[in-house]
Order: sequence, then structure tokens, then C-alpha cells
Amino acid sequence: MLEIDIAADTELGEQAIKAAGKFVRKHAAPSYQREDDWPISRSQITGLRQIAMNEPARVGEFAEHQRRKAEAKLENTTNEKRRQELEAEIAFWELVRGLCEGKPPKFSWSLTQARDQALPAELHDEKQPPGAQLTKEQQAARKEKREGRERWQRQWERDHYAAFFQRFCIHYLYEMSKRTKGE
Amino acid sequence: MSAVLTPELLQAADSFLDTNEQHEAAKQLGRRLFETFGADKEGRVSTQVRNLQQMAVSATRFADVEDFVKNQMGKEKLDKQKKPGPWRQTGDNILEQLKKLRAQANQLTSDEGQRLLLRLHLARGWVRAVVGAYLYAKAQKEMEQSHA
Repeated sequence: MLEIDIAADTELGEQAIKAAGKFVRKHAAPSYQREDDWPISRSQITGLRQIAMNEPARVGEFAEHQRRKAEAKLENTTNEKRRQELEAEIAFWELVRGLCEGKPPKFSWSLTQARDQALPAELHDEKQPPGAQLTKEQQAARKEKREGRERWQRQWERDHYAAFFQRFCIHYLYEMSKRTKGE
Repeated sequence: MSAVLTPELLQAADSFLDTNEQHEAAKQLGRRLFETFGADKEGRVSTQVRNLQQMAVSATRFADVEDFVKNQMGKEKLDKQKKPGPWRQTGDNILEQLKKLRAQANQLTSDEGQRLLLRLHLARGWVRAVVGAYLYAKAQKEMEQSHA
């Protein structure tokens, strides 16, 4: 049994469901009768899940890219209904980025915060006093520790981003399907 | 991390699965699954029901079973008469029953490792009972047809 199995089954999964549910409750308008009406399409959700699985470190960047695209469209849109949809889309990608990298007070929880909290004590960076002179051995030990920390972080991200966004995306599509009344 | 289920915990979980309430819930759901999914061509067990069983038996996370059901529901669209498909007709009932199993595991122990193992143990026992009821309903239907 792995730590990630427990996390996916408990806090990590709960955070994902909570975030997707909250977004849908806030932004899913009653006018979304068909799947096509939804600001975030099924294929975008599938894309998000795939990136989280294959390139977890790039999810935040991907979300920012999508947000910018939606924002550019919003600038040139006058139709009120379409503007609302684009605003919901922007909010979605802001949420995704926040879930990856968000900091308090705006985001009381994010994957980066969870990762930093889970970092084993022996991998924590020891701050040096200003102007401290390190011997070659100390420098090498520090470098080794940094590399170990980065390896650990990459592995953590590979496991946790995939699990988190699996639950997030599935819950989003589940909520979307429940609210959709026709083709 | 290596949690172990004690014989006492296993017995407590099995006793829960054996309660009348659990039996009745599994029986009704199994029957409902048969009414909704029916059997595959040539009278074989519905692939969807088999997939649910397979997922519950092989999952390493309880969430994977919940996600499987939600995913199936999320993929379905309403038909032209705006009638929901089989997963959307039965999925919320399944999720409700899974939620009870989760709550039961939480009640039996506070160790997160043991809770995960208990959830999986409960899910396997639960799916056995549900598929058993499905098969019973299927057999009854077949007997009715052969006597008609």
C-alpha cells in the first residue's frame, strides 16, 4: 500500500471533489441545457487530465495559457451571454492554476502547498547566514541535497497531480452530465 | 507504509456486510442493475456489470471504484426522449452505497492505512453481493421464460 493510495482516497480526493463541485455550483448557469453550452468542454477536461498525467509540472502553465486565450476572446466579445461563458472559462483556468500553485490567503490549499508540507525533513534546505563561506565538501553536500529534493518533488508531482486531476476531472464531468438535459 | 487488517477488523467488516440492511440494499441494487442493464447478447452477464465487479475487485484505491461509476455516468448522454442511460439511472444509488462503506470503514478504525484496506475489503464483499443478486434476477427471468 502506498501513501498516494491513501491520499487519493482521502484528503487529495476530497479537495478535488470540493473544488470541482464548488466551481460548478458557482458557474454552471441553468441555461446550460446541452453539453455544448458549458464553458469548459469535455475535450478540454480530457486535455487537462492528460497533461496532469504526463507532464504534471506543466499544468499551471497550461492553465495560464488557456486563461490568456479566453481573456483575449473576452476583449473582443460584446454578446453578453458569450461574455458570461468566457468569464466562467477564465475563472476555471484561474482555479486550476490556483489548485496547482495557489498560496494563502486566496488559496488555503494547493498541490504546491501540500507538496511542501510533505517534504521529508532531511530534504529541507538549510538557510545559510549572509556571506557564509562553504567548503567544497559542504557545497557538494548541498548540491546533492538539492538534487535529491528535486527528484523527490518530481516524483511527488507525478503521483499526486495525476490522482488529483483524475478525481477533479471525473467529478466535473459527472456534475456536468447531471445538469445537462439533452444532447 | 504497511497496514494490516486484524482478524477483529475483518470480522467487524464482514458482520456489517451481513446485516439485513446491507443484504436488502445489495439485493435491490442487483435487481435494479439487471432491470437496467439486462444481459449481453447470448444471455451473458452485462459487460458493464462485469466491469464494475472487476474494478471493485482489483482497485488499489476505493476512489477508483467511485470514479469508475462517476466516469460512466459522466460519459452518458440523454437519449432523444431525454431519458437517462443505465448508468445515470443506477449510478447515484451505487455511489450512495459506496459512501456507506466508506463511512463504515471510518467508524471501525482511525488508522488511515487500515481504513483503506477495510474500504477495499468492504467493496469486494459488497460487489459480490450485488452481482450475486444481479445473477439471481437474471436466472429468475430465464426460468420464467423457459416455463412460459
